[in-house]
Amino acid sequence: MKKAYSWKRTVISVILTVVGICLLTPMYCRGNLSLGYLQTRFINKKALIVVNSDKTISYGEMSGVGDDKIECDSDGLSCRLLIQDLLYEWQRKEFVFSVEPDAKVVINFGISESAPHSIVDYNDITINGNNIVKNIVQASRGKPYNKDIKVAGKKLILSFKVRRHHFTTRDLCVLYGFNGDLFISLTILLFLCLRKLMNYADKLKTTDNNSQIDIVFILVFAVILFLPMSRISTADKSLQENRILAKYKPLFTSQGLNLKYGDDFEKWFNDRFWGRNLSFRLYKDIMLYLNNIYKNGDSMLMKENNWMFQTHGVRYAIQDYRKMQQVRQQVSLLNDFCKEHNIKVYMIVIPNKESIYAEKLPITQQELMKLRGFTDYVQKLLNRFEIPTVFPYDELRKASEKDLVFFKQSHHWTEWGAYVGYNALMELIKKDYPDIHVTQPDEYNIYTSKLIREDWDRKFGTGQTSKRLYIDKKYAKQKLLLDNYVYYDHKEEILPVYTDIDLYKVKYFRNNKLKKGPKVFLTGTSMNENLLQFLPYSFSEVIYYRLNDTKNVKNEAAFMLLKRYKKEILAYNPDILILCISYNNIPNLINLTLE
Amino acid sequence: MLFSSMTFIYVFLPLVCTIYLLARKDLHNYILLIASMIFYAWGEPNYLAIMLLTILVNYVGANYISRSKNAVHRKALLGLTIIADLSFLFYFKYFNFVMENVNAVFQADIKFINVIMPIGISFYTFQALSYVIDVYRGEVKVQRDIYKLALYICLFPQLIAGPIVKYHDVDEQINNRTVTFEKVAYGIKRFIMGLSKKVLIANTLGAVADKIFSQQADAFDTLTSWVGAVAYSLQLYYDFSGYSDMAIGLGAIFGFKFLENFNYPYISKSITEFWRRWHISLSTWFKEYLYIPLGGNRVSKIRHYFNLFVVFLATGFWHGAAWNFIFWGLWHGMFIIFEKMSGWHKKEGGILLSVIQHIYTIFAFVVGWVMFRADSMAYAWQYLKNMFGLLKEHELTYKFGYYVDNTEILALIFAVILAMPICRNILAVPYKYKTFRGIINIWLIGLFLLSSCFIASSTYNPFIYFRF
Repeated sequence: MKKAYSWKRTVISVILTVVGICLLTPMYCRGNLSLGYLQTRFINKKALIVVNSDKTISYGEMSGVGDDKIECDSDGLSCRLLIQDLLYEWQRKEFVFSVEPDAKVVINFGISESAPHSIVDYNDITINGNNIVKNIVQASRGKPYNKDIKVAGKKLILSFKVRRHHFTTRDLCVLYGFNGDLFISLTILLFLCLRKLMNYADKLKTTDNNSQIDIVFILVFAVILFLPMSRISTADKSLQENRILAKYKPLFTSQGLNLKYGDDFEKWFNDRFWGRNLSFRLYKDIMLYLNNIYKNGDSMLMKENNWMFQTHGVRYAIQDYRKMQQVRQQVSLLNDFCKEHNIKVYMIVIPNKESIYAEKLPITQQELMKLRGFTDYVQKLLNRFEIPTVFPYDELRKASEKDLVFFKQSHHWTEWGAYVGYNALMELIKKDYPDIHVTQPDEYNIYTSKLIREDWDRKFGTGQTSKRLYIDKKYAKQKLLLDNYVYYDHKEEILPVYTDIDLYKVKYFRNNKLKKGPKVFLTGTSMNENLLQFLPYSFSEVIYYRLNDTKNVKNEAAFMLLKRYKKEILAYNPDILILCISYNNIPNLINLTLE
Repeated sequence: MLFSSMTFIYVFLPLVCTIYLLARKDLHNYILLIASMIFYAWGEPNYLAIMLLTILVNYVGANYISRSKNAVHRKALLGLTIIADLSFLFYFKYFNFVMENVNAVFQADIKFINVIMPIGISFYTFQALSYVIDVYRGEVKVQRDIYKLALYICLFPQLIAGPIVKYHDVDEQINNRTVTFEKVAYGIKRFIMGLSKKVLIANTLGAVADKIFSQQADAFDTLTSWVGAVAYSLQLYYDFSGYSDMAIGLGAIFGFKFLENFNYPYISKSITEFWRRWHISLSTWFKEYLYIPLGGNRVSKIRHYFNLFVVFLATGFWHGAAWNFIFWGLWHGMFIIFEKMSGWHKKEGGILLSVIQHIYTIFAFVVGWVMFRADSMAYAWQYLKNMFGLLKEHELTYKFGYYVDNTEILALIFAVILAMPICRNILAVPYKYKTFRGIINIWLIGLFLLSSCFIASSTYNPFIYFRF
């Protein structure tokens, strides 16, 4: 009887050892060996790069599940070939691109760094029917397959066969750094530990009415506890979070004992445990299911209309009166400083999105934001400021009937909204500079896109509030980014002649057509980024120094304008200083002139 | 390290449990001791020294007390040890508060000290005091093994948020305890219950309370102020009792049996009853080591009331070095004295009286929690004025619907239901009801996964603006 029990324990130990050794793959192999199937999300996204003769670039992406053939337009954006998870059988795939004559094509087949160890075989690669690769070529992690080709015609048809590579022992040992000694040692150790655990479990004193249900419960719980540790991500960055992931910092460093090891370890583990992205998605789905409004932190998504807001956008509607008194004093001091140096100063306060689109808010918040009293209240506050200030609430409300003045998926205003704000500001400046040139829509190439351009880098994305809400690109593109936003690119675009993001966020524009016009020192928050689509066309020079979100400056110090940029203002010697901030940021001006 | 962190649940706990369960029994205490030290030093290793010093002081003090046969010497040694223990607590927790008030009263300019309070110092100091007083009273034998004493003081399950385990309750368990499947399974279940209370209910309601309490008191209407106070009352209960459940559960996994710390306090019919059900380990600590030594109720009525006043003043002060905590303690003390004087807490009658008693108690503790939650007494006063419609609202105020969504309403409903002893014996279903027990186990695993999902989602940390 006793022998039978022992035999059972051994079998269970062997099974658990096999499971354990699979989970411990990264210890004896460089990364996890993909044994079953390889998800196409691990294939190098930009598998095909088309550089047209006019320098426009198109990408052919491979990901997802679906079609075997895709036709793409050469529109400067990417196009996606959807293929099934890779099988061991050959599958034929085809990209069809419209290209400019003499376009250069880079075939860039590879596997992303976060993928498990695997090889993808390609065969029979043809371009426009010409077979350019006859033999099987392989792409693996860190070893992509590249080839540059020129295309003669206006059409590019790239056809190829693709499959999972059949592994050989050589692949395991040579390509993937398989460490056989370590594998054997780990297996034996793991088996001994598990055998001991089984013996221990058997010896546990139990009462007469013990229950196997509880033993199963303990085992399930134990397995769950080890799961997040079982696969630690080795990725460098998280695209979804737009940041570099924390690196492991050892307890003992060259400088001695790392006293912050605990914090460092938590940051590292929190960024890399197995199931992290799954948890985010699950959390998002639960919240979306339970609530009409999905919130995370200070951001929310209205499920019924796909509008996103920042909850503090509403909360900040009420500014503390005592704080406002101090802000008023600070603004007055800035005015004195500017007067002393013969600089005209103007301020534009951008209404928060929540006040412009109050009717899109939850019913409980509309009541507050819809009140006419709110804008009257703000206007009353701003009228007390000594410097000329514009608060384009009415203008934006009116303009919102024509088109979206704020992005649905971000707290920033659209370029159309920024243009309305620009006009309101120029109206104010015109009182002192009547000859100033106000740029007109016909000076621009106006086009639309479903994606969002809002920040310093001028790249199109899914919107900053989406990021705060864990909303991944796929979900955003399928369910949220359904509206067209209007974009303005000047026909004679002035690019910044100087930018700096190492210490500050600085952009410097010089308008050669208006050499005699006034020089502007522009400062404020991220709302300026879209305003800069228009402002440089009205002045001879515009230099822009961002206040918030600059490197190594904590938020409370961010708005200390004179402390941070007094030297720069005096050195630049502008005619005009424009302070452009959103209404929510007004309390931050409390330190504006502190030095 | 927090119990409700990914690192604790998914790294520290599995590793410690595995090592503990695989190791020989005579190594168990050492493993737990090392684990406790790592647990404590994890966030702030410098303060480990304070805890080690506390252990040393009490070890030496208790040893000398036990050896001395002279009553005066024993008393003096006890006094010195208590002063040493309390001086650490005073320095790190109360010094700046006292100086702030001395400066205000005497127009002095005593400089504040730049210290951060070591986590859990209030809890482990009281545990150390319990040990040395028990030895002095002869209720327990002195612990000659410093490692065992260290384990008692810094045992990680109850180190940073209690329950405050009295030495005489665990003396025997430190020397001899067994680990059984029943205990481990019960411990895991209790841990999951606590984790769910903390993560799913307390954190959700905490978000509501934080939103409301973070604003000026005139920025919301009266109904909202009540929602904030109730949400905070429930948050505090589920947070604290959840933490106690986790501690008791972890203790059970390692073979310990800690006493219960909460017993459905919000169903109390009087504040006297409330304190028999709320933070039981603290109230019994004060009863055994302060109230009874002061004479308890075996003194004149006036002296009895004075004793109660002192106990609740100390209770308030123990919770934090700020006037709002002191007023909170006195607020409760006031009701206790009122009940002792009027006999209100003993009155029995029909349903109507019972309902009135419940309303009275809920009113007393909810108002008390406002003082407890507020950043200052001035804010608490403004908040309370708003609750009773005595504050002129700002011209633009939010209505309560702004603060709550479906999830929060759901958490609020669950919080109210589970504050009543409806599911009291859910973990004690007899083994013969296998199906029901199985369903509960599956439900608990589900709760654990859901809580983990909520914890994991808190690690999401997007960089919103353009990355440098």
